[in-house]
Amino acid sequence: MKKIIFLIITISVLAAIGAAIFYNEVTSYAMNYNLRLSEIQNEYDTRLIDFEKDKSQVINHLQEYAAKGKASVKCSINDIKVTAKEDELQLFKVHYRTIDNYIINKYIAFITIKDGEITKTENFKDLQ
Amino acid sequence: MRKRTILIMLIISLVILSGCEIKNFRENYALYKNQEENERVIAELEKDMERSNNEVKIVFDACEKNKNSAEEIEAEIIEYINNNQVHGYDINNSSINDEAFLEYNLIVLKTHLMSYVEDHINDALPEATVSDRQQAMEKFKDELTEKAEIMYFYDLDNSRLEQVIFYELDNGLINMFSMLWEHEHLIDTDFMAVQEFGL
Repeated sequence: MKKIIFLIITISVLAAIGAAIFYNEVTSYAMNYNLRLSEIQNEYDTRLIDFEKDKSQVINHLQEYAAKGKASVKCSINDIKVTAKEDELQLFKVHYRTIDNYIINKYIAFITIKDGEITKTENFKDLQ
Repeated sequence: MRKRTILIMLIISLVILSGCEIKNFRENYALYKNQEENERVIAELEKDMERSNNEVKIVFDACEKNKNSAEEIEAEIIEYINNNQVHGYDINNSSINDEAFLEYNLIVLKTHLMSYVEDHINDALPEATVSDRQQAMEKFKDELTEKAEIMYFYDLDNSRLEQVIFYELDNGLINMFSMLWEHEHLIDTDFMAVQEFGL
């Protein structure tokens, strides 16, 4: 009887050790895999991705800015360009036009963006 | 009674914790089971990363090369303002090609800047002597070249660069002369007069 109990305990301990080793292997593989994935993500050159993100933010901001207070104003973006990043700042130059009651006006806006946040908007009307 | 309650609570907690751990383990095990597939995904991502980074580099390198060419023109314009007083060009429109047209636009920009300097001095000092006028002209040229702001905007979709020269006139208007560069060649020019405008 004692022998059987001893055998059962030994088998249980061995099974527990085996399970722990297996558990450890599975967990460390998963951790390692996730780490490799995040490393790859970090190594992507994010300049174009950042630009696209900032660009859509600038467009949204400008459309709200142009239509401020007037539901009838429609704003369309004609051209959008960006400077190289300097001191974490990027300047967007946007040519856009507004249509309000069949009157078309052309504008140029300079929008400064820092860390994904718009910090300055300068607006000019095209006189031609 | 209290001991039993504590024991039951402990058991429930253990069951919940092990339940969470089992859920975690199942996710990890699913990854472990598909090692071959995971390696393939990682290899693909690495390849894509390399390709994507290369593309980004090409776009930004092209813009930098355009910028070098743009800076040469910029230096030419500044030099022109500082060294010339003569302007007035004649161009035969029937034989004009693209290159000549761009060159013509640059000449227009240069002569516009020069005539702006001269007009400003003539208005400001109508009765001045030649030497005073000359001195004032030099001073105003310096002011204009200092005041003129030159900026470079990337058109990343087309690997182009737009070089913009801004200069503010006395009446508050701002002139913007822009040059578009592609593969280090000037391909277009544009001129705009604008005024600051708050909506």
